[in-house]
Amino acid sequence: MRKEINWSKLDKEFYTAISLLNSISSEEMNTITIFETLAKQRCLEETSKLCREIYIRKFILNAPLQDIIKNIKSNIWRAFITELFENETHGKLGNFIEKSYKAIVEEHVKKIAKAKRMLSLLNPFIGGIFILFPSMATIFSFLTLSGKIPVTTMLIPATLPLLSIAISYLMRRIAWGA
Amino acid sequence: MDLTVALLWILSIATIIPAVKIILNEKRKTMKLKNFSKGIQKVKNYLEIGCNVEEAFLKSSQSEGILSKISAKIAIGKPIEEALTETIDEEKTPEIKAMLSSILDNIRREDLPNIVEKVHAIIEDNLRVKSMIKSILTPLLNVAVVSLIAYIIICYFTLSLAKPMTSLTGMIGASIVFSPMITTIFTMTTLSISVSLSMILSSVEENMVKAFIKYLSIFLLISSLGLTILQFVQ
Repeated sequence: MRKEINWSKLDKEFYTAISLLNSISSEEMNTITIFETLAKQRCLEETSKLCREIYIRKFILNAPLQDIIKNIKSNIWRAFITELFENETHGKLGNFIEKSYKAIVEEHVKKIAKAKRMLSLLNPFIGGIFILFPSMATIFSFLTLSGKIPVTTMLIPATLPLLSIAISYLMRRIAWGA
Repeated sequence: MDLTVALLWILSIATIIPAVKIILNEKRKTMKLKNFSKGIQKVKNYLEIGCNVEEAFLKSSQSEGILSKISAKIAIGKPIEEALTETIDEEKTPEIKAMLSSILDNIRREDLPNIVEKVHAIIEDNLRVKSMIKSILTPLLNVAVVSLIAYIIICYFTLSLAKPMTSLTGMIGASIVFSPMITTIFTMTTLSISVSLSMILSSVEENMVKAFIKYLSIFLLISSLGLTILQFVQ
């Protein structure tokens, strides 16, 4: 695969690309039309680069599918393209694209619902973490203040962001899987 | 004004401009998607009752939005293909660009109403996910704002009470209360709380960096205001 493909940007375009394919999916669809359609999308820059490359290698140069697929460095795209060619042989391409799109949306909705449950569990503790703990620590350090900023006070600004990094990492994994 | 509070103000002013830009862009994008969804639904209805594609776009044009741009171009005599191509080039929202592209590629197909219906369903899905994320964040943002204000109030009142108590107990000198050092501790802690809350809230949003700037500016503004008021009140 050519070097100029930005793989992380390509991953971000995946949802829009599948949405686009879903909007035009039909029973007569085949892989040539799919790659032709995606290759000419100026709004999906990286996707068009990848699909142009696959189109040339697969349909013009007749390169083996395995060689093409192993050079795709994006897991979601590799899995999707592999399944795309598998489903073409079974004549279920339109169906497969519709199912893929629905699966992406449903999975996302499920993840957000899970994140919502997690956050609603976390909500009562926010008061404890962000009011009581810093208030008590700050007040305690004020009362024992002897001219220097005590270590306990310095720990608050350091501890809270660390705790938040852990919480936000967990939330990110739940809501977006990344 | 204390130097640390002044620094907090500088930080909050520095983040306000990009944050306002981010908030306005988000609102504009959601509005655009909603208008597009409504408009495309109308296009589908007109196509189903037998209008041709040009008529469908002209009749569905709204007072503002993408469809009005397309129909304005059709109204001055441009072919629909050219009108759509130009609009796609001008448009910045990737979802709308992609959906208009799929309509453009299949503009003369017999099953265009089906494609337009799918486009409408996709935009609706997109809006549904966005509103789900918003429904998670709104109560959490409220709790976070209340927490930050509560922290500032609790510390202020405790220290106000501590002042007369110190003369009785002799634990600390009255001069320590609201000294620059205490303001520094307050500022550092409120800054730390602001950063922490922003991190948690932004983790649920799609673009974490933009969301972080947005929430940080809100919390920094509250912190700066709170600390400035406390300095004037003491």
